Amino acid sequence: MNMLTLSLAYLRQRALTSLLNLLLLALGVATISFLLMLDRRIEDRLARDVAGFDMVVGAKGSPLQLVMSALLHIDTPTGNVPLSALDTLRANRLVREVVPVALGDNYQGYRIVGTEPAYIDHYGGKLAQGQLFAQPMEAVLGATAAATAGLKIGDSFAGSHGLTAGGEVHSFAPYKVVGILAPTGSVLDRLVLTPVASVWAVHEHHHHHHHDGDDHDEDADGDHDHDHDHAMAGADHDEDHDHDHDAKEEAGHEPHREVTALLVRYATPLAAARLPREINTGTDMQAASPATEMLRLRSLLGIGVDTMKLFGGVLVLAAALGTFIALANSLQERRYDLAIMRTLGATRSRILGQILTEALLVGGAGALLGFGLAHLGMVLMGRFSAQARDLGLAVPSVGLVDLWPLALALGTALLAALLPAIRAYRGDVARMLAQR
Amino acid sequence: MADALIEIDNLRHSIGGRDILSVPALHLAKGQHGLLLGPSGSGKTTLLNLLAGLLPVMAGSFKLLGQDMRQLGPAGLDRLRAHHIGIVFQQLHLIEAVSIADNLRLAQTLAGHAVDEAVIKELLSRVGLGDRAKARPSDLSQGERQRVAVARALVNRPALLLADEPTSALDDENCAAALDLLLQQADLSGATLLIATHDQRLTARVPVALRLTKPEGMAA
Repeated sequence: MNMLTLSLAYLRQRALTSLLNLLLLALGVATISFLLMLDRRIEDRLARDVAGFDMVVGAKGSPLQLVMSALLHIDTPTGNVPLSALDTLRANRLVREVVPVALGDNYQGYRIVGTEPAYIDHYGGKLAQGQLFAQPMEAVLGATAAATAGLKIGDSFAGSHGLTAGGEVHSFAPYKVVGILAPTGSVLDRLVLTPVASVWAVHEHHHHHHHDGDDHDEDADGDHDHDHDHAMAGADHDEDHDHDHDAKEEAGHEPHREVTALLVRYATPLAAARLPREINTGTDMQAASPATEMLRLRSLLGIGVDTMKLFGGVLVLAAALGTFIALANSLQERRYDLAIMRTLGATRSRILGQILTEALLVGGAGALLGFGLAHLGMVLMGRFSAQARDLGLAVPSVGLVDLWPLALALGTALLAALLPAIRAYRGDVARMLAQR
Repeated sequence: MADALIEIDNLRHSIGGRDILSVPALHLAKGQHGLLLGPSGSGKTTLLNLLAGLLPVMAGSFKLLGQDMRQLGPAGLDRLRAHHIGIVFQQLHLIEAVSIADNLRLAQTLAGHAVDEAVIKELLSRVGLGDRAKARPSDLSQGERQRVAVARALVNRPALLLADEPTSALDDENCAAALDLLLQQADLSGATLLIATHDQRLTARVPVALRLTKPEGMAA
């Protein structure tokens, strides 16, 4: 009979108390682990997705919203900007690169982004299958989008209006899958990429269909609010305005085409001082700095995350206290047993080891259970929430930093056992037995 | 004494400067049984704890199996107790969380021995519990529990078996049965049995090795 089997026997003897105690510790560890992992994923994801672009140019409105919609793809756009701004910026010697982004539709919740191959290059996207898009209505799918939607090369699909699933289906303008990207761990994984011209084509068709009163593929339940969905797509112009566009576009007036945002890389640090100011004051557009907006987002989120972390910390502390009390009580009840073990020849260090083994069993099991619960929560959240999936939460991964709640739980259990262990170690066996 | 087990001379023990035990002399040979007889408060349990190495020797001379107990540190006393002494407590003090066989296994491992299932089986059979090895102590009657305590005390084949008030709460019939058990098992194991008791009924069957009185008039 070794220390482990004896410890397990004692834990079994008071199964309910042991279980509740373990759950208390597990909940504390789960809470703090979950928050830490969430925080880290968000930080990583934000850093990865905004990295490299110095400025985002879009319609006036909230700069944070512009950055979140154009770079992170987790908010609605502020509106559209004229395509002519793309050429103007490209001609500017302070600019190294400009990548257009045109939003408006989605496929099964994955945003369809009209852009150029440079966008894929920027995030290090590599083709796993097929080729890059070359013609309008050709689509390259991010790894997650392709896997979830079950699409393969050669398949056709129709986008839905708006940036979230459930919008009007544009069955009249199907896309063809020509390429699937390898996973990048960036926003690219959850996007459907196509030439900008595809987005224009779909919406030109879209307006024709509406205008002609054709019976296109409206929502199955028939209560779809077209105007509302249009706003969701980020087009801040009204229907009449669009029709004007259509008329002019049909007549070949390319300059009136629009994109949602322009992602800009500076050629020189000087650009940071001049370009945003020029755009903000001299045009109808706004320039937002991803770095600044992310700092703002972090400080906004930070309060909530810090509060949750504090809450998790209090929970862990409560769990630690509970573990401490439960272990201390159990060992107090067992002091006679420990004294008996001494009379049977157990050395002091054996007694110490016995108590610490039991504490480590509770602490270790609680920590592992908590860690498992945190990961399960993360996976479930990723599975049932589109926003969480956007953050890449559905795929569990363990970093070193995720392990410290485990160490905290084990430390707590050891600390809780230390006092009774020292008392048992130094205790007067004869006196302890006489007290019974 | 060539085969002396216990050699005590002028042993004294005090708490807070007050003498609670004085033993001018106690000599017991291997295999010899005896009683430590005295009323409550006369220091029987203290002497038992000294004999078991659970209390340090403060003054006087005490040798067990030829070893000077005053020279042994805590670890040495633990070793001596583990290998040579078995104790049956008045409260029995069985480990309730595990089976009775595990109580015996635990006694072997705590003493640093490998678990010897044959010895455990033999001892449990000797005390009439061969078929109850997996029972928990709480499932047993008081008499059965006492038999487990005796078996556990003997599982490491000690030279000295100490028993603290084993019959004090028993009627005559059960008192005789308990004494039979202790004497029989000590003999079978070749152990010296020393019983601390105030129960005068035992004197008819076991010689008094030491008669203790209350501190005011302690005498051998």
